[in-house]
This record gives sequence, structure tokens and C-alpha cells, in this order.
Amino acid sequence: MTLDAPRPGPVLRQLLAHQKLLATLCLFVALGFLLAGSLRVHKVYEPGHEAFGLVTVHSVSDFQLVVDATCGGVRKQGDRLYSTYDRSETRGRRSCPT
Amino acid sequence: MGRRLHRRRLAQILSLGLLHSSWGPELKWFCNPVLSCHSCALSWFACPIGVFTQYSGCHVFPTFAVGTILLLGVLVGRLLCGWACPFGLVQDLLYRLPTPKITLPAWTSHVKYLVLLGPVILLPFWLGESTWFSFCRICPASALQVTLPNLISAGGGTVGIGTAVKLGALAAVLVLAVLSTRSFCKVLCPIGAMLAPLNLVCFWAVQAPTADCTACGSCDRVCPEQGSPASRHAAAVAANRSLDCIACHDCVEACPSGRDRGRGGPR
Repeated sequence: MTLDAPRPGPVLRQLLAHQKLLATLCLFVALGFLLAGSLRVHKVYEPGHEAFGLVTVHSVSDFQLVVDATCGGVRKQGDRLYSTYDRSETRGRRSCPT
Repeated sequence: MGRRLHRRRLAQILSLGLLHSSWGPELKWFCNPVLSCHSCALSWFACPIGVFTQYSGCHVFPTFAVGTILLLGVLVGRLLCGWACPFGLVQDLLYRLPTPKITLPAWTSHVKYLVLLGPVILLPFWLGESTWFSFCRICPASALQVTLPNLISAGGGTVGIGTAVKLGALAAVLVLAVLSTRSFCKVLCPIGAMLAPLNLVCFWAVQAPTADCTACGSCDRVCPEQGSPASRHAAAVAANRSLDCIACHDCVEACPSGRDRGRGGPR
């Protein structure tokens, strides 16, 4: 007799089917978030460039905003996100300000 | 030490090396759900806690980061806590020190959900991303990987209140890790709190050969989370269908009737 795995009774079988359904649902939700995240774009403003009504805005993907989150690359001011570094420069390693 | 424990220790050491081996390139768009500070000079990946804190402070929903955590969580649950988390390895090694041991009350395992809700999400949301009340300010992994090396490389010098608090928190967590097995994971870890509910539905299943169970209690004795896997084995439920299980598979390894037959894997 092989005893590799638990042999579920009817109740457990129902539970497993229920769990599988939930897991599959979670999987699709996760994939949905990943897809939405990869399509999402944030407006990030350049600080100090607002004289005479000139505003510099960068379109930043959610991937890039995650990278920015690792080094305090954006800060919120009012309803806007402002960059904390010069995005026109080639990016090197940056450390977290905290 | 069992074969599987050897394999787990090897995986933990490999993970420690691989996660902290960046010589310059980074993959910091990817939130790796283990406690490892992304401010460490050698880290490859982003820490989900740091990312969530920053997003929360900026009042932006972390769509991609949530997708990453949810995807890994639903695939393997808290398997990464047991096999890949560098801070888990530190705790596992500290617990081997021969000192008197204590068992934390069961209610303490709920504290981590408050930690996730408070200093990771709500406090940065209300007070801003650079608040002193965010989890990153007291994170023991950050203290170990960033604060301490920075302090040492600066040759000591003046220690500010923030640094002192962070190092104090690290010391408390390390002392508790010596006294109680995986105490940080069980009580405080916000990543564990994020992944815990997904343990109940994830595709990964830790299965013991329950038909041979003699209720000897070996699995309960070796469980690093003191999570009573025997009760789930007796009910023929996968051992990791519990909020606190880190899918270490030590219970399967300890089972006298199942060393060769117990297994874990996608169900």
C-alpha cells in the first residue's frame, strides 16, 4: 500500500476544490494586477522648473516607480509626485535616504 | 540533522549569497517577498515593505508590487519564509544557541497584522513616506544590512536617536530569536502577515503520510513556528494550511513513519 499523500474524505475533497477555486481566482487577480501595473503610467513632476508656468513632467511606469520607491526617488507634495533627482542624468546606484 | 533540513539550510545560505551579490546591476522593479533591505549595497531586489511604505506615503496604489506578492504567495505561500528569507536563517541559527527557551503566547502571532496595517500602510499614508513611524525606521534587517555596516565604515562617531532606536530594535529582535524560535516571523514580520492568508489557498502543499500517523507528536515538537501540524496531519489536511506555517517541511522530515514518503509540492 502506498501512503504518499493524505487520502481526503468527502469533506476534505470539497474543501480542496474550494481552495483550488480560490487559488485560481487569486492567481488571475495577481496576473491582472501585474498586467495593470505594467500598463500603468504615473506623472512625476520635476521640482524647481515651474517658473513662468513651465512644468516639466515625466511619464514614469509603475516598474520605475517601484525602483524609485527603493531610494526615495519621488515625494508627494500636494496632489503631485515630484522627482527627488535629475532624471535626465544616467542613473547610477542610489541609496535610500532613510 | 535530516536530509531535508540540510537541503533547507543549503537553500537558505544560497539565497543569502544570491540575494546579496549585486556588483552593480539591480532588478529593483521586482519585490522579493523576503525580509532583505533594498538599501543594502549588494541587494538585487526591492523589499516589499519599503515599497509599500513609500507608495502609501505617496498615496499611490502599488499595483505591480501587489501583483508580484500575490502571484508568489498564491504559488508557494510562505515557502520563501522557510527556505529563502535571510533573516529567517539568522533566526534559525541564533535559536541553536544553548540557552533556556520560551514559548510565546499564541495571541502574539496576531501582532504582525497590526504591524502591516500600522507602520507599513496607515501611518505612512497619514504622516508621509519619510515619517519616523514607518516600519523601515525600526526594521531589523535594515539595521543589520545597512545601519550597522554604515556605522562601522564611518568608524562609529555620533549615534543619533533614530539609529539608536533602530539598533535597539535589532538587539531586542535578536535576543528574542535566541529565546524563542522564529519569534520575529511569528510576531512582527509584515511580509509574513501579507503571505499568511495565502497559505490557506496556495498551490504548494506540505503533505505528510497521514495514514501511518501514530499521534507521536514528533511533528509538533520540531515545528519552528510551534504551529501544531499534528492536528492538520490527523485531519488529512496539508500541514501548511495554517497562517503561521513557513513550509519548512521539518514536520514531514520528523515523522517516523514518513521520512521517505512525505513530500511537498504543487498539489
